[in-house]
Amino acid sequence: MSNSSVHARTPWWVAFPVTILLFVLTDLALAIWVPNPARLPETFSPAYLQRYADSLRSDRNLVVVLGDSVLWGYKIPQQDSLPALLARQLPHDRIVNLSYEGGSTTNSEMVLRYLLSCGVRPRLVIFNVNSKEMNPGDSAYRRLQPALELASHSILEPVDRADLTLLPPKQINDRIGDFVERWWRLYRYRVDIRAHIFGTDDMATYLTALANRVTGYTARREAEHRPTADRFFATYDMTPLDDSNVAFRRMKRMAKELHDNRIASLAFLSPTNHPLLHEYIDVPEYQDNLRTVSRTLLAGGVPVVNLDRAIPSSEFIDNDHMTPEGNRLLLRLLLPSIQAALK
Amino acid sequence: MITNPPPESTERHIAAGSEWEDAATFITTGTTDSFEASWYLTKSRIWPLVCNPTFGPITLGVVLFVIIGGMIVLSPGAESHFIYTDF
Repeated sequence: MSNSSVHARTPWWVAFPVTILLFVLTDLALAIWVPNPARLPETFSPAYLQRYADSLRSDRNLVVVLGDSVLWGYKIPQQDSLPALLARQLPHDRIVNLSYEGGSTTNSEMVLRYLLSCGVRPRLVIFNVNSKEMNPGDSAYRRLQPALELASHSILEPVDRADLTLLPPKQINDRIGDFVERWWRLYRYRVDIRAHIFGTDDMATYLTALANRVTGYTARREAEHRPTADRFFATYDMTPLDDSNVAFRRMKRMAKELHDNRIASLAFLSPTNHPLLHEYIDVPEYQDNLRTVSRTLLAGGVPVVNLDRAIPSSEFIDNDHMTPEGNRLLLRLLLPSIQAALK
Repeated sequence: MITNPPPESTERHIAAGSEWEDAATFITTGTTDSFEASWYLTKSRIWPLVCNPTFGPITLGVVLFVIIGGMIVLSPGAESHFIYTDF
């Protein structure tokens, strides 16, 4: 009786192989997972972007939408964003929304180059040019989304290093992190797992947002936070656009890449809330810059639709982000050009 | 020693008790108090598993997995928002 109980005893160190086995199984599960987001999450890892780009490689009916928070669908449900509305109009094409919050022309150009380097060949690329992002004071004027920068590190050229403000050089702890990420998928995709579970950066941000919602702080803040013109002071730069402007140079380069790779494209000038911003942008210099952008893109072979004044002020939630109805109106205005570009 | 005294009357406790209770949980744990029931279940079901000479180390392995995995997934994100357009 006592002998049989001695034989049945499992050594304590078995705990470690069990832990390792569970982590191996988790990694195997992550190995078969392929992201297919309706739009990019608020935060994502370089590995996520790489995996997503790889999954697009074989698709021949790919329509890629590149841009900023206007196209991402800031403060509106995903299904009301322009790419989601477009997907319903073009059910035979795969519409991929690769725009993100804090995007810019500079970022769009790098996303395109990154996709091309991954072997992705879109049937059509749609992108927006938002005049506020041509402002050197804009935070995304010469900065790349960190995950994009890390993912596209190998394709950065000397001109990119000269133009862009890149992440600081890697320290020893970053290199250790890189090493662990290379071998451990759970660690590599930790940002994406957090974003999937909490819908935001991490649990702390989620709990803070939840507490703010429950206490009514969020509602009070939004009620007090109505957009007024003074909030957008210095958001738009009226300096005439030329090659000294990094975002403008990047836009030209994007047109050239699309042309050189024989990829159909369509650009549009982002709708802007003119009544709100009247005192800042209703000046001849603003219109001159829009004309320069249109002329340059057309010269580079990219059709352009000027939608700067196309949306009524009532369909904006601030200077450039639109309500769901604003997005529907935007699609109605863009759809004929999209269909023409697809032919 | 774990005690699980038989109830005087299951029906009486359910009729007078809280939203938590139902016949199944009452019969299993012998109590209508949710904290007492969870403590009873911990002592009677989970702790013996941890102390079990055969399954204890395996349970410890699972617990280690949950702790380490939880640390990775629940730790604060060092990757702060790139740009947050909050007007």
